[in-house]
Amino acid sequence: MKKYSLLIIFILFLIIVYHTWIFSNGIFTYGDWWYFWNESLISVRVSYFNIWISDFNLGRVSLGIGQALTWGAYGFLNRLIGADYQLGLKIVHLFPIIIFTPLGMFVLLKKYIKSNIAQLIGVLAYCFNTYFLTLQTGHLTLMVAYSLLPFILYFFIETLEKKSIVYGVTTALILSLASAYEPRVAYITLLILFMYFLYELFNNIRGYKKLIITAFYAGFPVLLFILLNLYWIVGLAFTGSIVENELFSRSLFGNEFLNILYAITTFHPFWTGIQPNVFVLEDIPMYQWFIPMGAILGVYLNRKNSFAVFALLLGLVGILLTKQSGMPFQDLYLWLYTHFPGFNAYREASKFFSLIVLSYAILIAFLAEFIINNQFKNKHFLYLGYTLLIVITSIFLFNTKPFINGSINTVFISRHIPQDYFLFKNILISENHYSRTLWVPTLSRWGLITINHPAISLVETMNSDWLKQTILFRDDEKTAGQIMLSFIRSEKFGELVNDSNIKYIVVPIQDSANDDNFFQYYFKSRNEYITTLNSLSYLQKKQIGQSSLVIYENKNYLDHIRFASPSATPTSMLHYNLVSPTEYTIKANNIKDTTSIIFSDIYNPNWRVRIGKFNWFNSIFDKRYYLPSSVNSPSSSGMNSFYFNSDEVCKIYSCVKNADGTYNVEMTLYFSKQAVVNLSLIISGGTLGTLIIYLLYSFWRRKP
Amino acid sequence: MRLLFNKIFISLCLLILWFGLTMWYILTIDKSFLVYSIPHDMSAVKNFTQKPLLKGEKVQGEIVSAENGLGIISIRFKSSKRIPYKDEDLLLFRFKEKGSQNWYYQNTYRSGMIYDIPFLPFGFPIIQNSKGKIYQFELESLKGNTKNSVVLDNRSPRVVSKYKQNKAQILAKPSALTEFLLKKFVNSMQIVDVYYSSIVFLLPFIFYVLWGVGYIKLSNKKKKSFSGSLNKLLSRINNILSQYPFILISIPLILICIDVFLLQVLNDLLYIVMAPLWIVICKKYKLDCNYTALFSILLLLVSLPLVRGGSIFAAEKAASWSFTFLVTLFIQMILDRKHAGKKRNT
Repeated sequence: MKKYSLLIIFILFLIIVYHTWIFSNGIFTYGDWWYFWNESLISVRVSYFNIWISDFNLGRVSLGIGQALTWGAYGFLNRLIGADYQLGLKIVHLFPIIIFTPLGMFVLLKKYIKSNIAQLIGVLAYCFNTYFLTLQTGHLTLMVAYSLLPFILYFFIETLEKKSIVYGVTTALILSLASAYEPRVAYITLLILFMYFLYELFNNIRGYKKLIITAFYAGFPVLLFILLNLYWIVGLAFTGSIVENELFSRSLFGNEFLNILYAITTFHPFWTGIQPNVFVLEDIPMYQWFIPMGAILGVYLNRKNSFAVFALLLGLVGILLTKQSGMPFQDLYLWLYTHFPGFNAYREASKFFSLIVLSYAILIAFLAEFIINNQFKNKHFLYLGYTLLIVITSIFLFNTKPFINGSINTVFISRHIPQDYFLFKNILISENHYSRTLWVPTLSRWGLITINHPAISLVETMNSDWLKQTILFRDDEKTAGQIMLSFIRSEKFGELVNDSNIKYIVVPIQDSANDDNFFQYYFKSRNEYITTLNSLSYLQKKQIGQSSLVIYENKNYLDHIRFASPSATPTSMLHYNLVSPTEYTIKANNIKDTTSIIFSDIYNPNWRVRIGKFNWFNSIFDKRYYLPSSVNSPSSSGMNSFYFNSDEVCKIYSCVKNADGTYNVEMTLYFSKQAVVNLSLIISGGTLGTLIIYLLYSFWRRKP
Repeated sequence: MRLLFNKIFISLCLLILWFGLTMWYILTIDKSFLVYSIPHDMSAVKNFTQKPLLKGEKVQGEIVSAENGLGIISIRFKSSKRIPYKDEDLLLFRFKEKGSQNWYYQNTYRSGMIYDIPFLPFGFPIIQNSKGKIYQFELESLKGNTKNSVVLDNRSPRVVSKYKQNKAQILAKPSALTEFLLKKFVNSMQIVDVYYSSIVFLLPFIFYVLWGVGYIKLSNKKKKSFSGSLNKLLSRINNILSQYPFILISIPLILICIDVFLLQVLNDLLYIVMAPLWIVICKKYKLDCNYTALFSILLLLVSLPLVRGGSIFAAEKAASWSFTFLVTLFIQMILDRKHAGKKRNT
């Protein structure tokens, strides 16, 4: 019992810190951490393996495909065990944070440090620093991925040291899991592994033979990682999104929030000691300086330990990057951001705090071991050492205070869904016909999103999918709210609302208690939106529940896939079926001459039409599988417009000719790059299966 | 003889390094090879104040153009904490010839630029025949408040004017090019940031010469001559430096303190020169990495009161030097490990 007393105390402490996450069944949502209805979990989250997804606005290339496994897990858990958002969140994100963050660090430290107390101090430094604690208030994907970081480093080191395939495979699997949570953390982790490899080469490798062997064992987990993640790498590469996308094209941000002082003291600029104050720079508390001091002393006193010196390297690189455009080397980050492949995913440098956190946690543990093992010859130094250690440990323990007393708020308090949102959700799911819902000015966190009923945020769509159509309304002198209101009053609004299949327009409830009040950001009151929408004759107000949620119905909305009038004959009919967000089957009957079909997702040239039977595998190798890409062009509303001559098409492809000379055509509308994603998914899935079987086999063989 | 040749060759290389780095820094400051800077005396800013410039407040100044091709006036500000972009002050800069009714040029600038470029250049269309004329400038705060206001720096020079020269004219004759380079170098050296940097860049050469003087052995004949006396002097210096190594060790540390507390020069080359120099010093005087770790911690500790006292820029400087010492510490540890490994192998 005595042997485990420290462990039991630590587990009890973890339970106290995370008591809300562990014991409450409430809904945790805050900031960018969104709530999802069960219907959304099944419909949207499972669809993340598609490279095109039409859940939000007018559809998009899914940049989140790399996270499909973890987002999809919510949907699969819902289907398998009926887990709702709350339970899914706990299983997929919250419990892994609570368990893996300390466990991973413990596993790593145990390899180098014998003292249990020193290990514990290192674990506390890793778990309860201000950066990781701030992440836990909303950036949960990042945090889970960081919790796996020490595991990955540990298994990679073991791979190189023991020249072990099993460890290499484990490294690749955990790295892929981290990537499934947050690919950007996987990139940082690869950077760390690469640094370790170089460090190892410089320190211990003599001769070409050893170099080649070490390079092989360092390289093959990375190769496996690439194979495991091929589906999204290929998907994004083929759609041209891996180099240039809305995330990678953003300019550098937040130079004013980071400098070398924040970096070197590992103090998150928004950490207040209670709920983080986003975009407000906080002063660094004096006690925070003890942390780098402890780390420097840790490496100095253990300078003969190779891993301690490597930890210093991690910290140095971390500081150099995290300070962003601060001194020294002010232009370095911008240069890396502009020129270094993959670096443009980090528009602000705070993610590199993780390198410093890992470094300091290791070095502080080394310092603790040095002091605990009484290696100081001078008694005074020993007392000073103990004092420093107590102060440093207290800092990390003190950081947990807002989590224990609940003042951290954010995703540590339970939110409540207003009744009207339940009612509106039920209305939507009872309607099988495809329609979109426009949220004015933007989407509430309680808004339903499904593949059949996507949500549109007015402010976001005006800045993206409707940008060209609404350019006339832009004015630098006006606030976003003024621009939106003048657009709503215009004829263009009605036209776009119909074209975009918007059946319902909703003005959300102004609900500060549940972090659902965004009206202030656009400088117009909720009433002004309601008054403006009331004046539109084509909208009909719909009464539900307590009427606190204002809903308008638009009877004139058009179908998702339709003939572009007047291209069809009076008897022409069109039926379509949504197979997946990247595939629709269409039956067009009684068409003649030139036909134009509108598909009201935002225009993308990768949407192609296949006449006749469809098989995605064949489409990869047959260049004439689809109608020429030129048949798809953007409509006046910026959507996909397919224009072809049925007489000519039916000469080549199989159609049914009717007695009146018209044709019945069966076709498939497909996002062509999904075929490559499917193929890559098979490779990635096959690799995953093989690796798991290999690990199980190895484990079975090792048993006596 | 060969040793002496090597010494001379390395000394020459270090001199070239000093000149090259100094010229590089001058070019970085001037932004263009064809531009050169002339500092003005402290009276260039007439109503100089060290108080924050609040909304509606102005500073005015006057300079006599030293050359043709005037195109930039740089004014030195005190660096302060970065503030969010949306909260930045807007500074209205106006410029005209003395006696003129209208402003020749006016434009607004965001105060956030001062964090990156404390010696902020205000550009205007180049005045070709500016030589000898008097020009007036004015700087007005449009949104200054207690949080975002800028403060002028009292350090000399407060104002620098920059002149763009004609490329064809400079390259026409070697003498014109030499004259231009000389002017560019001499004028820039009057700017404290440049001559401070130049001193740091010269340190490797100075140290090398001072360490190397003991090697110069002259023949008996020459010993009686002037060069013999010089040799004696150099040997004496060498002896003193051997007896009191802290004299040389303290030079880089004093320069770092000057940078942190007084100058806060924005020049990354300083760290790049100082880090290897410190490694060589440690090796020369057999200082182990204790001192490097100590100075790193000390500089880190120095940043704390500076932050508390509101001198954020100086604090960042101290932390930057602390970081440089940490990098040095890492390199020293790696080299020590390599050295120990080799020893074990032999």
